[in-house]
Amino acid sequence: MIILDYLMWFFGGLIIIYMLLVIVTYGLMFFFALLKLRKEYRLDQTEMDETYIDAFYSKPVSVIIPAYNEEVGIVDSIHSLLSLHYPEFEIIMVNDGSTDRTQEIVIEQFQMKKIEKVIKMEIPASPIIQIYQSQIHPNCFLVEKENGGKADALNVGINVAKYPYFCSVDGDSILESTSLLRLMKPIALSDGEVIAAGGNVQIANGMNMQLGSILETNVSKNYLVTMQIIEYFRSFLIGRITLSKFNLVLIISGAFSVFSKKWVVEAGGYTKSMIGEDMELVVKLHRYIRKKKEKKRIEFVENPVCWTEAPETMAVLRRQRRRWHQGLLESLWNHKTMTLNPRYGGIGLLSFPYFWLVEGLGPIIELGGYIYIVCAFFLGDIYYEIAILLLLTFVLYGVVFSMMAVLFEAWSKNKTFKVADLIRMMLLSFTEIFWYRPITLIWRCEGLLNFLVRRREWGKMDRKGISSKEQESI
Amino acid sequence: MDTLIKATQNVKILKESDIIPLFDVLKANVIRSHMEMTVIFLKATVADSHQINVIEKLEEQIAHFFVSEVRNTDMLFKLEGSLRWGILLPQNGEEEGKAFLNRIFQLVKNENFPTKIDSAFTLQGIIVEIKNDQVMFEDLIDKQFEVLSQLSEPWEIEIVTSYKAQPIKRVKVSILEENAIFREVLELTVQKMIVDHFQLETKVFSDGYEFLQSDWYLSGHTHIVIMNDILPRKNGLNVLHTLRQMANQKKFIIYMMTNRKSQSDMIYAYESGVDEYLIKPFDLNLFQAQLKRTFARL
Amino acid sequence: MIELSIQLLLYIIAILLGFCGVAMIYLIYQKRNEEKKNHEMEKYIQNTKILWQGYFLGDDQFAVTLIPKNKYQILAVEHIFLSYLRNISNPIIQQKIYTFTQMYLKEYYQNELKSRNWSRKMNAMYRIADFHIQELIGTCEVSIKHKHSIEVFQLLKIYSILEKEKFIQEILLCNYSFSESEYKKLFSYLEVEMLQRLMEKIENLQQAAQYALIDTIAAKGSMAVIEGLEELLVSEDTEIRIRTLRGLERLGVIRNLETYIPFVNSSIWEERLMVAKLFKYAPLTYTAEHLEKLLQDSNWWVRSQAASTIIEDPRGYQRLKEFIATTNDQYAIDMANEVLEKRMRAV
Repeated sequence: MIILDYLMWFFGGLIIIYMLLVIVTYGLMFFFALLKLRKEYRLDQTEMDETYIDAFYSKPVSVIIPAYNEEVGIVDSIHSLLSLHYPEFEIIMVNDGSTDRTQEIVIEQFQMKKIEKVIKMEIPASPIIQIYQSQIHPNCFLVEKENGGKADALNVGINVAKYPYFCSVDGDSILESTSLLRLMKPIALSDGEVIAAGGNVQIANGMNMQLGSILETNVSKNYLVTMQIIEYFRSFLIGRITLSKFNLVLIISGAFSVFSKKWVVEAGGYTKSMIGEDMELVVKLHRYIRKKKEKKRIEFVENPVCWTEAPETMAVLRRQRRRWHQGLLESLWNHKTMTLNPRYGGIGLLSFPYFWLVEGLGPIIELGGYIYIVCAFFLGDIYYEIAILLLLTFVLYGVVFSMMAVLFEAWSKNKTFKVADLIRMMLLSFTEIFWYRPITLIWRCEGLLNFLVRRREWGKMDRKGISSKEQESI
Repeated sequence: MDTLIKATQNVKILKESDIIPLFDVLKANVIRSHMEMTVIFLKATVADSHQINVIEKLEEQIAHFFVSEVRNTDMLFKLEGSLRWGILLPQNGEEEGKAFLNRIFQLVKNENFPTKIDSAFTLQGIIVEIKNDQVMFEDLIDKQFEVLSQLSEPWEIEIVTSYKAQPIKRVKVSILEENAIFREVLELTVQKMIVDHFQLETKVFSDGYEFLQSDWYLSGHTHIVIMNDILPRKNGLNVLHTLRQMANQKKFIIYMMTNRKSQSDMIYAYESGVDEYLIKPFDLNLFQAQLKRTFARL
Repeated sequence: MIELSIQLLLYIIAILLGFCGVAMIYLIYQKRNEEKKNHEMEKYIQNTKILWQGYFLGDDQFAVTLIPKNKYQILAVEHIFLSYLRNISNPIIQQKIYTFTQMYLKEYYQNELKSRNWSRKMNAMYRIADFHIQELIGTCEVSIKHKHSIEVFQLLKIYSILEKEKFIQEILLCNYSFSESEYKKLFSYLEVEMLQRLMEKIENLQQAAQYALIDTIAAKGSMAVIEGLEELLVSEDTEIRIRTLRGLERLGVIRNLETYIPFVNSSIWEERLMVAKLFKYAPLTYTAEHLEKLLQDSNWWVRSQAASTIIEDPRGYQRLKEFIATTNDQYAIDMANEVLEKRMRAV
């Protein structure tokens, strides 16, 4: 009994200390993010848009869309790219051996014709079967290749790309018309000091869209999706902005980010065998920057938005989270020598420990906390207080941060948000710690297990398509 | 004078009944290809009225002289009544007709004939420019009788303008632009333009899809499309492609607006059928001038 | 101990939740305001757009109803003016806008400049540049933080639009370091003569400014600058030489082919690429020998450019065919075939 007693005290204390540490870290990050957002609140963004729409001031970009069985969303996605306010860009859709009608649909919709093109293989990748070019939009290409995974498809895209920067966009994502321009802004304004930038990915389910244009911003009625929206807001406010400020970014979303082609090629491109190929590339770039001893940055930019489809069912969400977590741990493990290594500066001393402890191993400790609370109730009085204390830290961590994230998102987007949505999301934030949080924790722990046993699984998502269906007559 | 090369052998003198079908064909072309035509009527008067009995001979000689003076695309025809002819000048306007008559008159006055003509004579002429496809040949004949009978002085030239009026043509103008204020300014600029013979109907759209979903562009009217290159849902190139793929695509005159200043894009757009490019910001006066040129060619 | 912590946490949570509640109410209230603002702006635009059209495009007299009466209307006026300025270039309309802002909006912007809110200050500076409010330059100078590069950039932009002499003075002092595209933007407001004056002192400028100046001056498309650019071809700085070649290519005139021949054998591939591009503007008879050499270059881009330069010449097609028959450089043959095929499809 005494041993149990000590154990309970020990774990209780450990978890509480951990939670308090996390809360303080998050609180600080939140604070920095708010300072930045507040400063630029109501700044006229169109001023920059107007300046850099002129080809003379901006750098051309190759937009690469790796697509595997994306027949539902791909046409809208390409339409949204074709309507981008950007002076010079090309669209390269890489069909990674889709087994559905992805390729036929794109060929038909954009009148693609076969072309001959000599491709310089700068990054080793699977062979190209055929390249097509649109008869309507000369800057729109389709590359057909054998299935080789997302990283391989992206590498092929980079080889085909002719411009010095490339932007990776998921096949089911929709960009706002100014997104690319705004994402390229730090690159254009830093004379190449910024070598990669990631945009703000948001959830599109429930939005009213057509042919890649947003007609109305709605929040999905699906609770699972709404919960994910809150989660995205939070991760955007906590983490992304602050990490970017101090050049500590390890994750920029593969769904929407630009890279300097030269640097990516030199760093060896995307790694084929990794699950989280986007994170892996960023870590590789950081490593390469330090190796070359250059002063380069990787940034997160908050105003260019990319809308993407989120899972609507538990099963798909579970698969996604499991994969994400496994990918995160694989990348961290792969570059474990960077951890606490002063040679890598802030990345080694701050980012890596943060990602290991908070993002990587956090789920175990947090899940431990949940189990602890349950145990405490069975074990009786003496642990009640610790359990309550723990519960309160969860409330602070889960409920309060979520609510604040929702509030600040609504504040910064006060043109588009709806009062009803705000209230609904605030109420939903209260419930997070009771269902969504523990479930996702379990899934992430599963990812951790998968990482330990090195299980591979491919994330498949049941695509619904985010665009309002309207019959295409032309 | 002799340096002019003339291909007289090709010109025959036609009868009035022969000329009518030709006239009708050319008249239809006046509208389709925007080329006016001119008909000249000539009346000769013999100074010495005693020689009435040789008039037939004289008529032949004068006709022969005319034949040697007209171009081989012009058509000379004999009118009812003595010493009267008509000449149809396809693809020529009033000015060319006037120049032609003056030259002929000068030649006759100086008695500078390439062929032999027995008797002295004077001429009177009428020039009718035709830009209207409603006019019938019979109307012209009646008109020339009426006008010629009013002419008193020799060497007089009368210009008839009553067939010059073009019929009013309906032209559609579509404006595809995202910015609502500028869209209305463009619409107003177009509406304010006064273009003779054209009735303009304007309509504005905020994106490519809205335009292509309307049946507005399907009618057979000449249609001027003024659009931005970047548009939400279906961009400018997409609209351009759709329009240029249509069976009667020639009716579209396409103005593309851009603020990207990307040369390769502009070249491609021209190659795919854009008629004019407007680089934003542009001057509305320049825009109006370009539109006017476009209308002049219609 | 624990009780104390529980209590403390409870307090913290209560305070934060209370804050959230208040914030939510505030947001809902603000949303109302926002809607009111949009409504007011829209109302003003709808009510006055015909008047504005008449005033700008026609000879209509200025109507008193156009004068904005509150902040919403000012925002609407800004929107209208920017829509005109960004899409229409007409000196008369521009002048009317400048006069109007001078008369009725100057005080508003003056207050905005003094605002402690950074965004409001920046927006005011943007508008001063857009609407040419000369009289507020002094206020800008005192209200910006001279360390903050975004603010300084905006001030220099205002100089380059409205006070060109001062701009040249300031830029030659080199107190700032902007990026190239920022320098380009700043230089783009200057006329060719001004830029030529800067060209004479190009070595005094910061490196990024030098590059930007070369690009901008070439983009102005004036033939007067060719000589000045050609002088830079002997620069020590590789990047300057490459930029200059690119600028000359943009101008599209070759005065003397001999000037460019040395670059065919340059050790820097970008220079070979640019020269392969420049040779479009000389007859193939003179350049064929060099272009064929470039077609066998070790660099893909150079080969690609050399091939497309050859094919652009009327005799290029024949020349490439002959070349394929006589060479045994497989890379060069591939490249030649690619452009030949492209050509076939285009015809």
